[in-house]
Amino acid sequence: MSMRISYRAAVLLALGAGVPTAMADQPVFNEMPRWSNGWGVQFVEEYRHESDLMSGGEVIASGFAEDVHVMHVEGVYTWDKSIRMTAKLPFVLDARRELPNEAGEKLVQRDEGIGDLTLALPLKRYFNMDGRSGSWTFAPQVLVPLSGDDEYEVYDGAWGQGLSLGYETETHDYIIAIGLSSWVFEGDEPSLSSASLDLGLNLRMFGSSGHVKWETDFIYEDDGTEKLYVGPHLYWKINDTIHMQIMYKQEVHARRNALDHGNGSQLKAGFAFVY
Amino acid sequence: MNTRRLFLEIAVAAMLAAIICVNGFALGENVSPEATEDARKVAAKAMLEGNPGTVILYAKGLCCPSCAIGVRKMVSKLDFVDRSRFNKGVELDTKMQLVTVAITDPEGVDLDAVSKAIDKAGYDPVRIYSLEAGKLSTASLEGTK
Repeated sequence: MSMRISYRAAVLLALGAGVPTAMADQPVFNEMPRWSNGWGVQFVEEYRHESDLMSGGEVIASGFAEDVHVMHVEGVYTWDKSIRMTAKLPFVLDARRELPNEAGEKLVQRDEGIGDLTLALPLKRYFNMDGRSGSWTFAPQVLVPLSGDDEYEVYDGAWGQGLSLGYETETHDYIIAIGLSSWVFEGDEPSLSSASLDLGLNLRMFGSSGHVKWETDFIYEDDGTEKLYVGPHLYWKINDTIHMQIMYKQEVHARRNALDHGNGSQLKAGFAFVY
Repeated sequence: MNTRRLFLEIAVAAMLAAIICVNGFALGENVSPEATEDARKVAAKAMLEGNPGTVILYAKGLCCPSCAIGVRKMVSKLDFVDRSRFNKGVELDTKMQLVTVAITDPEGVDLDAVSKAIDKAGYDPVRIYSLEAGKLSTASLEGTK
């Protein structure tokens, strides 16, 4: 077994495989600004932990983890209520992954620094009804490789093009959002498709408002990799300008094509400022 | 059946159920029956009686408390808004989809401007409510934006 792991680990090292994280979520918190000439920035800190080395649907080796700590700096400008421009830039504050070397011992690799830039042009079609509102979204996106050349890279460092479709509707009490995304990347990176479903309740208390959502994200890469993350998400409006969110997601279904880390969890917390 | 498989199947079932719910929602024009026009009139009259020097607008779709802040940001910039009252002169009721605007001068209210502000914020201005000799008066805003 250890020889098999070592061989595959060597292949992984050679490829420098990263974890594709490009998704359909857009600042600010998929919510704002809906108004013309509105803009906002958000700062989201992410901790991701993947506990096992996997191949296919099986855990090949426990105890070889990957831990990623990223600060996401994201901005949005709403030109008109139907046209937005967004930019998302991650900074890897600290990332480490553990792999077995040829002797079967634990090898630790690290990454830090700038990640890849995602630019998007979400086109929105809002509808207003008596007691309900919502929107359809079509968002072309491009991924600009900016990540560096450390021992390994959390972000792939490849150009990519993506398209996202979204539908969101909200009543005074309920929220439902559905999203589909598809990405292709240059080079050998597998294309990626994702689907998301968010179900939420609006909350009003302490003189302000927010919502809780249960989020489900499914990611499929055409090399056979599958990830299904589920978990809660709390958003709170501190005032008209300052907003915050915190979310936790657990990977409940994991399949990796090549040897890679899996069975992950993700914690995100952040603040946003909207004008 | 292992736990992860069970989670996966529950998640897929929840996704399908939600898609069915969304389709059901899409068929219903009014999913908040408590926010009828009669209920809005009662709420508007009570608000106007308790807050002299205000007008109230019905903005269709104004049910998201976060997105709705754009209405306050756009409307509060208008010259005739008394920004010393409420929150920058604007109070939002997302249950009734009502926007209460504190005004400096009843004669100075520009309906075109307020309709455009609500439209730019992403909502549909429908009508305005005001008190005339203690009675609720309404006027349509459709076509003004």
